[in-house]
Amino acid sequence: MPDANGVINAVGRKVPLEIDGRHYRPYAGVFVEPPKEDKRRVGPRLGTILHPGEDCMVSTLREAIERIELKDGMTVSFHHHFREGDKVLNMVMAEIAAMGFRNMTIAPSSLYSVHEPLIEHIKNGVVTCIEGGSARGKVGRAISRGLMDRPMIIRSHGGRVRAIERGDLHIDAAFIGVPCADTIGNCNGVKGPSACGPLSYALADAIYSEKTVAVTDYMEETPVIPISISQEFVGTIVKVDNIGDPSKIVSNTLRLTRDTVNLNIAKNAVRVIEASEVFRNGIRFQTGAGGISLAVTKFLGERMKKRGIVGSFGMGGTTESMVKLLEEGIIHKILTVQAFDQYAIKSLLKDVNHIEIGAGFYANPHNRGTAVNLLDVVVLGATEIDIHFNVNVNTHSDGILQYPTGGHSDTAAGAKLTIITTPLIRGRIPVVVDDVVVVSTPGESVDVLVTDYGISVNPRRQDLIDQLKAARVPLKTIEELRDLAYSITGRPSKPDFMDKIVALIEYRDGTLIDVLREVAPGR
Amino acid sequence: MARLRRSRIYLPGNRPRMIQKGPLLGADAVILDLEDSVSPEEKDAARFLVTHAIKALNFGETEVMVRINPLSACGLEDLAAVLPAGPDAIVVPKSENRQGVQIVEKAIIQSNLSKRVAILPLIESAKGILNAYEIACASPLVEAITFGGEDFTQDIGATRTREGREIFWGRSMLVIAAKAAGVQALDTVFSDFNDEEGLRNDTLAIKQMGFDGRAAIHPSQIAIIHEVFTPTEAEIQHAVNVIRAAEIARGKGSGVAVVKGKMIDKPIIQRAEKIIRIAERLDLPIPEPEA
Amino acid sequence: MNTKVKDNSMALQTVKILREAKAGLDERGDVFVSISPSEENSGVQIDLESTLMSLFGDQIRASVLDVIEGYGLKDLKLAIRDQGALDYAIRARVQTAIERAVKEGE
Repeated sequence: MPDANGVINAVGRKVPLEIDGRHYRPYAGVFVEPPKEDKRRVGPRLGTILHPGEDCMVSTLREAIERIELKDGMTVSFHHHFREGDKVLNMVMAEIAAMGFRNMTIAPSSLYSVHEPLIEHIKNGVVTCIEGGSARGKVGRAISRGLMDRPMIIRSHGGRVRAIERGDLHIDAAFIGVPCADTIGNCNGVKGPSACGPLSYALADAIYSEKTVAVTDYMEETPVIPISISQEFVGTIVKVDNIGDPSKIVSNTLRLTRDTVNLNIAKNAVRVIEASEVFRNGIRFQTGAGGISLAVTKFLGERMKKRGIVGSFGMGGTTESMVKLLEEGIIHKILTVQAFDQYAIKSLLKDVNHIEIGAGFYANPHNRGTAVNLLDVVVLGATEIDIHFNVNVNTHSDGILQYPTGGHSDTAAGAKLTIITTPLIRGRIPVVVDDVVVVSTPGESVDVLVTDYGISVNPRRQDLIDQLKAARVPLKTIEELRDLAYSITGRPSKPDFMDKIVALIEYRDGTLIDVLREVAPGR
Repeated sequence: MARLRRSRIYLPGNRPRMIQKGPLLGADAVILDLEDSVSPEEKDAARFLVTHAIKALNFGETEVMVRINPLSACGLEDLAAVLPAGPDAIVVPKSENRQGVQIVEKAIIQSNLSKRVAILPLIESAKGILNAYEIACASPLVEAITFGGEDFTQDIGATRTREGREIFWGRSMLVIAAKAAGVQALDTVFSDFNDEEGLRNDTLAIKQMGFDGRAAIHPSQIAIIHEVFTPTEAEIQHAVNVIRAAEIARGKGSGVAVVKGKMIDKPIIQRAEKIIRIAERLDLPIPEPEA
Repeated sequence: MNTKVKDNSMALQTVKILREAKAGLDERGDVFVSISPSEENSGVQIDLESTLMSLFGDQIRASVLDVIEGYGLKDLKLAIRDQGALDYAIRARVQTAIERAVKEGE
């Protein structure tokens, strides 16, 4: 029953139907058909033409901003392929602030602690709204404590592209940091001193925004090869000294965890995969870059080799661990949406069977074909998971916003087997709880939880329970794991929240799956 | 059959985070240490922490041992504090003679617990090795004697090597003393935790000498130690075959059974039975005898 | 060394905070406890800081008070800096600090 405050959605969360001038349908399920509507994909206005002999170069950022005719109240976007090594967002926003713009909306695909200067821009009224993936570090903490008047929108990778294509997120100017560009706008991310790998998170921005500005620190002869973003979509290019800190963009090498407990979790995750029906020739999987994930990739490769199984592709979040599987012939191909180390970048550049895919190809639920639907298995993390298998990846247990949804809810929806790996408790914080602070990924799409204290299968998946029992994999109920967690840590109090909504958690299909409220001041 | 003690690992008794990891490491036993890993000013703090930890934490199947300080130092105060919490075993460092064991036994009896507390004398000196048999026999609560290789090497003025030649004799004496007394023999650590091959070879060697387990200096060593001390599928199958053959021979009244061309006499049957008991304890599949 | 006093009536007569004392390490998973005497009838004053204040602040306070009550102590100042210690460790550290503070001699 809707009231002034909203309705209860399909994961039991109360969400508003209208807020900050936006209208929302409540989350209704993982694969609910969107209402039939007479809408088209958006596109930039016609009229920008490049004549023979012209190029798109300007000498300074200021010139670029003037050339694209930026105005107060407009929306500018950025990608996060440079992670903590990013310099583009801060550089562009500093110039926008210096030029006196106000009331801007920014749409970064994610924010990192390096983007702390945004706090000043928010305080000064330069930025009044953020539509993004999340906000790490001080920015996230400040938003949680009510820094902004308007709520932040949090979307997954797939949800962001859906929103862009439908026009929910209208980008006036996309500022794309590109490691390698030419003078008329072809770009890639695999060459140059600030190489980051793919430019997947920027592709939709380039195609659908009104104006696209490529910011680069390295140029090559026209046309650059490979072409990740085409000259057809880039209208302005500016070369600066440095767009990112290479040591923070990707690691030289990611260390496999030596922690016995994490290794055991990884081994058990692989045990679950091996016992399930998806473990066969042609398997298609995705892992990540955290300590447990790297170990999962390695152990899975070892088991596949031992049992003579060859995978169709690995997808990620790509790391050296994954590339080694390709090199050893254990998988045929890699589809990359983000590179985490130098090894992965080199492989993307050199190996024909290692390809870059855009975020829409990867995860947009409302297009004609998306890669996450091909996955047999995905291994993911969580900050919290509740007894309905709902997962929180956006906040800490105390309600402070910190992490992006990323591809979490996208892959969980698409994959046949979704496994969450996590320690049962972190310090004194229980990970398995009665209710998560926010629902980022609904339990309907989560199948198995693997912790250091035991494995639990979502009761919806009787087929999996049977397969694991047949393979003598010991199982616990999720309630048993919760009880175990609380018996060690004690039952935590619920964090105190105020009434003000500081973030809207959109599900990938544009419905509202949860809201995050302002954290009450400390006692 | 006594508890499996293939692996044991020391946890510093004054570090909550390390103690809490105990149940997760997969070792057969953890030793909450009040001795070498605790500085003199913190002995009291460690005593309280370990006592509370034993009462509050659930260690599951893992055996909970406490290494007290030497009885000549504050070992008696350690016992007075931790025994009421009900540890599974007390590790007595610097064990050199039967008196030490008897003092600990007395303290255990006086604490009036309803559960059994085992005594594990840690022998780490020349004198201790020479008295190993009397130490092992000093109390029915002694279930194993353990070897402290580092201190022993220092005591005899030798130098530690990867191959362990300098401790061979000490190790051997300990095994002989233990088995003569009917208790387990447990070995010292292999200090280089980056050397997995070295660990595997050394552990195989001490298993062949008759040791029932060894200590780990780092959690990453536990899996390898267990691999060496866990019967393989082939070993279990062979054990099953041996026992079956012996049963058949007994049934026929004929003297001796033969398996794979080898005569099966009593020691071989006993070893086979021990392997089966370990396999059962570890919940490993026990196959049918081969025809 | 004073063993833990279980009988409250005995405690009221014999246990007093004689000096300042500290216990616990400054690291994740532990709690730093500092205890000092205070004037008669000033009561038990607890200054609590924790990295998990909103989740476990109440529970920590309750455990600390429980240990203090077990000793029958009435007047003291306690500063607690918690970094996510489990309940057993909090009790152990508070007990250690009290024991160090009531120790006779020196």
